[in-house]
Amino acid sequence: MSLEVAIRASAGAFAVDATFAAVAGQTVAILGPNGAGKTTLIRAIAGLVPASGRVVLDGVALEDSDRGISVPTERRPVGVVFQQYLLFPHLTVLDNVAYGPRARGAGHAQVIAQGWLERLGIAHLATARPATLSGGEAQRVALARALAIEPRLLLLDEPLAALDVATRSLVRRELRSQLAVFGGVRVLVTHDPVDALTLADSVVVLERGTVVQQGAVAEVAQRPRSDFVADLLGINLLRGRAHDGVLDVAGGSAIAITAHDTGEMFATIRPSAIALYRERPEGSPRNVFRGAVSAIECGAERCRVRLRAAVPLVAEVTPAAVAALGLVEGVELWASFKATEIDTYLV
Amino acid sequence: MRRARPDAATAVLVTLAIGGAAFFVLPLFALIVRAPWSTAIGELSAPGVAGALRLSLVCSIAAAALSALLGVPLAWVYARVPFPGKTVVRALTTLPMVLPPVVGGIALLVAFGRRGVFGEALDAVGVRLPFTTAAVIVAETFVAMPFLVISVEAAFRSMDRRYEDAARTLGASRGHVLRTVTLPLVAPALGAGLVLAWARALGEFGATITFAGNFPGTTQTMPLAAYLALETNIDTAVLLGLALLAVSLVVLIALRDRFLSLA
Repeated sequence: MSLEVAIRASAGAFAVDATFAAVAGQTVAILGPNGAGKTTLIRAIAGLVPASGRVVLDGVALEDSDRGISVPTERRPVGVVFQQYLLFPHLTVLDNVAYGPRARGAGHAQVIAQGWLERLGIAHLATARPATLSGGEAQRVALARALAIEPRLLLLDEPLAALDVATRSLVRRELRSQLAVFGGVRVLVTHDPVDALTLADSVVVLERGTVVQQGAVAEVAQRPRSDFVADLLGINLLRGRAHDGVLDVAGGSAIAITAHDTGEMFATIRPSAIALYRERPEGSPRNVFRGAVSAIECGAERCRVRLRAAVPLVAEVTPAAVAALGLVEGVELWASFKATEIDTYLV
Repeated sequence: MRRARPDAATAVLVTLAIGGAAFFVLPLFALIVRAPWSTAIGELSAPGVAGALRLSLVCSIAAAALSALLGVPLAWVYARVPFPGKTVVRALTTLPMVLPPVVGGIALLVAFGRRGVFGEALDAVGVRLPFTTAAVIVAETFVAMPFLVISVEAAFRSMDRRYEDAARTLGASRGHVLRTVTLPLVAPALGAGLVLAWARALGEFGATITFAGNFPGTTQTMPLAAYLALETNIDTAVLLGLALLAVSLVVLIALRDRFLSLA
C-alpha cells in the first residue's frame, strides 16, 4: 500500500509542482505557509483541479497524463477532510456520514454511518445539525464522513486551522489517535509546524509551489537545508514524560517546563530562544546544558549551531556571535533556555 | 431657553413620512371600510367570481411551477456556465420585470398569435395558444419567471461550491450532487423565488388581457374580473380586491425574513 505523487497543477493564483511518496500507516505532512499551493496539491490528488503528471495509489493510476488517465473524483478511493470541514448544513450528522456510503450505493448506509460515529465517540451527535456542533465535534464528524467511504488514502486539509487555540491542542491529541485507526496512506496539509512535528512521520516542505525539502520529520527539523525551512520547521523537538513541571527525556536529562500536566509530552523550543556561553552561565534560565559544537551552518543573517549535549540542541545566533565566541566544530559550550520559552503538547 | 427644539429639517421629514405612510394606508383602509361584509359570501360565490378565483389559483400555480421548471436551469446556467453574449441574453430574460406587461402581451401575441411569427407553425401542428387558459399561464410565466431566476441565480452564485467538491469526494456523481447538495442549499432562495413568482402571476393583468383575452371561465382571472366588475358591481370589485390584498399580505409575511428584515 503506497502513494506516489508527481504532479503539476494550478488553480487561480496558486500553482504547485510536487513529487513525493508515502506508505500506508504513515502520515505525510505537507507543510508550507499560506499561498504555498498546499490546498491546490490536495485538490489535485483528489481530482478536484486538473493536473498533469502522475498520482499512483497502491499501483493504480488515478492520474497519468502520459497515458491519458484521469479518474474522476467520485471514483477515487480518497477520503478528504476539508478545511472548515464543509459538513452539509442541511443534513444531520448521521446523514452527513451516511452520504458517502449512500452515494456509492452501499446498502445500510445509516448503519455504516452509525458504526463510524460510535468508533469516533460521537454517536450521541447523530441527530444534531452541523451548525450546532463545536469545532472539535465538527472535526470528528468530518473525519467520520471521510472514513465512512473506506478510502485507501486520507487527505486532511488544515484539519485544526478552524479551531481556536485552546481547542486545537486537545483536538490535535485526539486526531493523533484517530489517525492511527486508519491504516491507509495519510496526507496532512498544514501551515503549523507543531502539526507536522506531532502528527506526521515525514514532511514535505512547500515553498511557492515547489518542494524545498522532504524527509523524516525529525531529520528535516534537525537539518533544515534553507533559512525558509529552518524558519518554518527548524525547531527543537523533544519528547519525554512530564510530571511536576519537569520533562524527563531520553538519556536521563530533565528539563524544566512551565506546564504541570502529567504524561507523555512533546516540547518545542525555537533555536533563537537558546543562548550560548563559553562559561557556565549563572542566571534565571533553569535549563543549562553543556555540549560540544557538532556543526555550524551560516546563512546570510543567522547561523545555526548544532550542539551535541545531553539532549541534542540547535541554537540560532548571529554570525557576529559565532565570531565573538570563536565557535568551531568541537568547541565545548554551555547552552541555556528559559522554561517559559518551551511550548509543550501532551502526546 | 436651552431646551432642545425639534429642528425644522426633522419636522419636514416626519411630516412627509406620515404623508408617505398615509398614501398606502388610506386606500387599503377604504377597501376594508367599503367592503360589503354582510353580502360577502354571496358575492364571492357568484358563478363568475368563483370561476375567476379558481382560474387565478390554477393558472398562477401552474405559472410558478413552469417558472421553476425552466427558471432553475436558466439560473444555473447564468451562474455557472460562461458563454458569449450572456449579458445580452440575461438582460433580455430579465426585461419583463420592468417591461409594461401590455407590451409583453403584445409581444406574445405577435409571436404565438395565429398569424404570429411562430404562431403559424404552432397552428400547423394543431396548437392554438391565444385566448386559451394555456395562454393565461404563458402570459403569467412571462412576467413572473424573471423574479424566480434572479433569486435562484443569486443563490447559485453565493453558495460555497466546495460543498459540491466534498460531495464528489464522497462518491457522488454530478447529478447526485445537484439533487442532494446543490438544490437543497439553494432551496430557501428557490422557495422565496417561487412565492414571488406566484404572487406576481396572481396579480398579472396587462399581459394576460392582451394575449389571453377576457373570457369568463377560460381566461378571466381575478384581476380581470375585478376590473370588469367595476363597471357593473363595485361591491364585487372591492371584494376581489380585498381577496388579492389578503393574498399579497400573506406572501409578504411569509417572506418577511428576506424583505422586511432591518438587520
